Amino acid sequence: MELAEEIRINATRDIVFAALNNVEILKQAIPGCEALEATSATEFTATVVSKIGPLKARFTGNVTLVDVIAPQSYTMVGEGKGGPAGFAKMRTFVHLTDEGESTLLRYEVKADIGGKLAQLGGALISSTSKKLAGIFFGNFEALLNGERAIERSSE
Amino acid sequence: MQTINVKVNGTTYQESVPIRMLLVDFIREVVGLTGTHVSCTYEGVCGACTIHLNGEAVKSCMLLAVQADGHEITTVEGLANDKELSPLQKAFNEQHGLQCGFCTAGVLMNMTEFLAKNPNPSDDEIRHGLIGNLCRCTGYVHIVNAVRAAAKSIAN
Amino acid sequence: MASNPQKTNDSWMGSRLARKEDLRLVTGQGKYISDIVLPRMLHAVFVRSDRAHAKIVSIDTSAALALPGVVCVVTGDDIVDELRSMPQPVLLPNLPAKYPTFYPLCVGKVKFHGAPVALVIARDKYVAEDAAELVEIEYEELPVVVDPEAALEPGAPLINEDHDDNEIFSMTFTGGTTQAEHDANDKEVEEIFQNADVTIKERFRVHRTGLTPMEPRGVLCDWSDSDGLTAWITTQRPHIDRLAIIDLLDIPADKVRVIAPRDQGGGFGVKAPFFRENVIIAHMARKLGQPVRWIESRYESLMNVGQERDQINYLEVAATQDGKLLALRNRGIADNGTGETGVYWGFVMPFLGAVELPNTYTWDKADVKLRVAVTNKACLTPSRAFGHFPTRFAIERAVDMIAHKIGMEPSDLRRKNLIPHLPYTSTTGEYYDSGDFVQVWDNLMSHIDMAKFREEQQAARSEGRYIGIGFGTGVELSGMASEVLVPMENQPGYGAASVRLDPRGTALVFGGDAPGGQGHETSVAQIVASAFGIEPQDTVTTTGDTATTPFGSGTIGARGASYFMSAVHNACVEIKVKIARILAHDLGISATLDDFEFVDGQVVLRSDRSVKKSFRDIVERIIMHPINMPPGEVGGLEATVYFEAAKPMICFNADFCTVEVDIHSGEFKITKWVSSEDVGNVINPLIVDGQMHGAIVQGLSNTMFEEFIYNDQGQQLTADFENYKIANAADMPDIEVTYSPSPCPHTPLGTRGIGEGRPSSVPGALSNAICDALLPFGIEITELPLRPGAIWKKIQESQA
Repeated sequence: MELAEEIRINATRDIVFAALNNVEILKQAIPGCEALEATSATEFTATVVSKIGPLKARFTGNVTLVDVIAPQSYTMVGEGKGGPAGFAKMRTFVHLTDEGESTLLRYEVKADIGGKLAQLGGALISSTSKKLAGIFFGNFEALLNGERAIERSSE
Repeated sequence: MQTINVKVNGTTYQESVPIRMLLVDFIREVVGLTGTHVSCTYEGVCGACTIHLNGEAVKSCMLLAVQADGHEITTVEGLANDKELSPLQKAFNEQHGLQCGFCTAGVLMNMTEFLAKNPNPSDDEIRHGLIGNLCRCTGYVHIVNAVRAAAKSIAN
Repeated sequence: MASNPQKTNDSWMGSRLARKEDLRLVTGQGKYISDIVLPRMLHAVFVRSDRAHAKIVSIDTSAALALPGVVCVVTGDDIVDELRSMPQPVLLPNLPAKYPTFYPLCVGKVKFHGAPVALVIARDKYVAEDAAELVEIEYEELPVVVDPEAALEPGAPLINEDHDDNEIFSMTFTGGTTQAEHDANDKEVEEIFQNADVTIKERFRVHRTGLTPMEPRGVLCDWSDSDGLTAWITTQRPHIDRLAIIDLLDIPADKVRVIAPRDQGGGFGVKAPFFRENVIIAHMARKLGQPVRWIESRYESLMNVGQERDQINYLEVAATQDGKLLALRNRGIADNGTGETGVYWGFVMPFLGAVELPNTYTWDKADVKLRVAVTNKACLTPSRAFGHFPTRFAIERAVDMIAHKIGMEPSDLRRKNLIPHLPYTSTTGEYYDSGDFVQVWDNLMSHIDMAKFREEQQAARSEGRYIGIGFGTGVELSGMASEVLVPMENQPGYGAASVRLDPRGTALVFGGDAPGGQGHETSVAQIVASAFGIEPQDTVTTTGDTATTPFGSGTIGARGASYFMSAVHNACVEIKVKIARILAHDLGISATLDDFEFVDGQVVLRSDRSVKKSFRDIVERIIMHPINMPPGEVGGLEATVYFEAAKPMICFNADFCTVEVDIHSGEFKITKWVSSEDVGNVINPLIVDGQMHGAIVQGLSNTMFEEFIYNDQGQQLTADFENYKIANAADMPDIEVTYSPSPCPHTPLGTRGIGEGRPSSVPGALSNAICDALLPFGIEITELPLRPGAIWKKIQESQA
């Protein structure tokens, strides 16, 4: 599954990039995120509850930031195991461009799911990913503007 | 665990069962009637586990045992009347409506109810009535023949 | 509807006798594997890989073990030193291949989505399932190979690392045995193609599909230190399974008994291989000293077995302008999956598919080559129409494409090229023993008025309706002679049966094969009743128990009516010879078997029909009162007979179907299906009809609906009946089966084994009918499955 979108965020590039590296903001923005802890500047462990099709799974896994070019872009690589439900792999490239006082954020997601998730939720992976990404960046922008995250779960 | 009272083929069973136990497992493993089969493994697609719950054909893998509390169940073992095969059972034998027999219990339970509601079905109606029962051996031709023959025999 | 007649010509042979098996099956009294329960029985659940190709980094079983009720959790590393790896010689064909080494649980890495990684054994089924979900496996992913052609490219990631490439098997089937002979043959074929009036060349693709018995697999093993192992296995070949278990677990041969349950919910080839699950369940029962049972879920079944077909055939055909087929050239590529299954290893199916490619037609020359690739998918499992479903689709389509090119009726072209006289040896070396293809064909054509159909077709087209007719033919192995089966599967082909008479005049028959719905108990009873002049209800048949039955290679390849039933008949004859000798002695006359008739429960002297004795009395006399016997004769009436025909045997069929295609949606409806069969002398037409109906519908379901789908990561996406759709009753047409039989000269009753290869003519016939309906659009179907969307797309493309 591949997905690419652009959104405009009402904040400068430096602020947006800093937020993209801020564990607390990420934790609040990621739908279904139960835990997110930094183990180094670029490595995190995460627990995320997600619903894909008929299956609800608790994913535990690692997220690593690679190819970090501050304050312009990075790639977030994650893999989560959902126990008997299967597993999910995600690779997200995020790129920021100045647009006056705001920032144009472009992201490209490549996600793969496996195991029962793929068998039962395969047809829904595209729409689910789109929805999750939309929730994430919606939350992200709200948090940057000092508001509370709007949606916390994927349901 | 929960105690349930279920009448199966006329005999009442009072049993203590785990809440999550499926009705098909209750019938097969607690009551010990193994004519009801599991084929799609609890998806409700194949129809091999079809029984009658209060006279209505249902897939017993789609229900919990506790949901049958206080109700009456008929399984394939209860179709024959005092060892006398039902017209449908007889027709399945005479028309070769079964080969391996694994789907047969479910087909018989479904079609028994079907014929009660449609005493004079067309072949097309029979085929549509069978959609919930998968059979891998017969190609359905002899099953349709058997249901048609049973309808005739019941009418006479 | 005809009622069931009792006897035909004073014999039960050929009677539409209602089956003996049915009484228990329609009343819920059948005994299938999941109905067998032993005291102290434990429940096993496999933990299966959710990756297609990955190193196993670690397995954490602690949470699973901590669950109350869990007895043990074992992994590949736990058992690797406790049992032998596959392959073992008994499970190896005599064919040159690169056989993978493997254990019942994966060791080191997983090679397909669904591979068994760990086994949980618990006192309760639900607890075992819970515990299986708690086993944590850490993987390191490896490059996944799902495309067979890519798998054969140099430098492709290796799946079986003990080999230097992913080609498990390759072979040239034509021209001789040496490279020089092959080269010379290929050159001659090329010359035919160069000079031919007309040629076609296409890539024919048949997807991964197969058979799915309604009853999934299961194994129940019990161990005792004194008697050893008793293993109930859903299997078509208990005797082979027994030998494999003896060798793999190093148990003395006298201490292993395998029982195929009397009732099995279908096999269709899927229960013919030797599976890794059998070994580990047997091993754990021995190790724990307690019965262990594994019942496969549908999910596991669709992940692991019943996947067949999956071939690409680059087929070329050369012909003359007046429709004489000249030569064929084929480069087959088959997608084997991992190859981790005993007896067949995946490639034996495409091997036979290539052998059977020439089908019923005469060819001057052929050049047939096959390459089989290992991929990160489940190993192919045999499925009815073993290996030749794809090659027959290709050849039957190619024949129609030639017909379209030269403007000839496809039916006329077929008749012109049918093998006119048998015996015949095909260009790939397959021996066709007997029969009359042309007669069977003409019988088929007597059920359709072609000229009238073409008129109706024209009239329909003028109204915007598209109807079509399609034909297919199929020659099938009728059982497999030792001279075929020893090279192919390293097993004998003979049929074996023991017949034992009881002092009360009834018969017990024992056979080593293991049926799953074919009605053996009824057919055997008809043969025995005909032989002894008794009633069919007086025969009881036991199959599948290695402790009581003579060796049999299994219920495979249509060997019931060809080999097993012939052995039953010959055993009856042997017993009758003895009865006749003793009766003649008792009567004080000089007479042999030919002088007596066994009829209506009596043994009658033909020359003076008033001289007779009841069958029961003479049987009781010989078994219970063996005094005053002829010289050298002793009491008892029992015979075990092994039957091997002089030659490998075949059966033959031809089909036509008519369809109507909606060009606006690509949807089509089968409006008629007629088959013409040469099945030899028929023991029970009711049963044979049922076999044909079932096989044809299996072929249709494979052609139209079923498809195993793997994504590019090797994830198998079709592991339930919602996503792996099987035809239901409303999807399928009525089927008319007609017969034009010729008695088989190589069996004592003229019978032929039937049913195994029967689905193979179906995909060609149906595709041909659709192409015939769409002839104005010039559409030639070269890929399965036949989905309305794909047909609609072709119609759109042709109009663009």
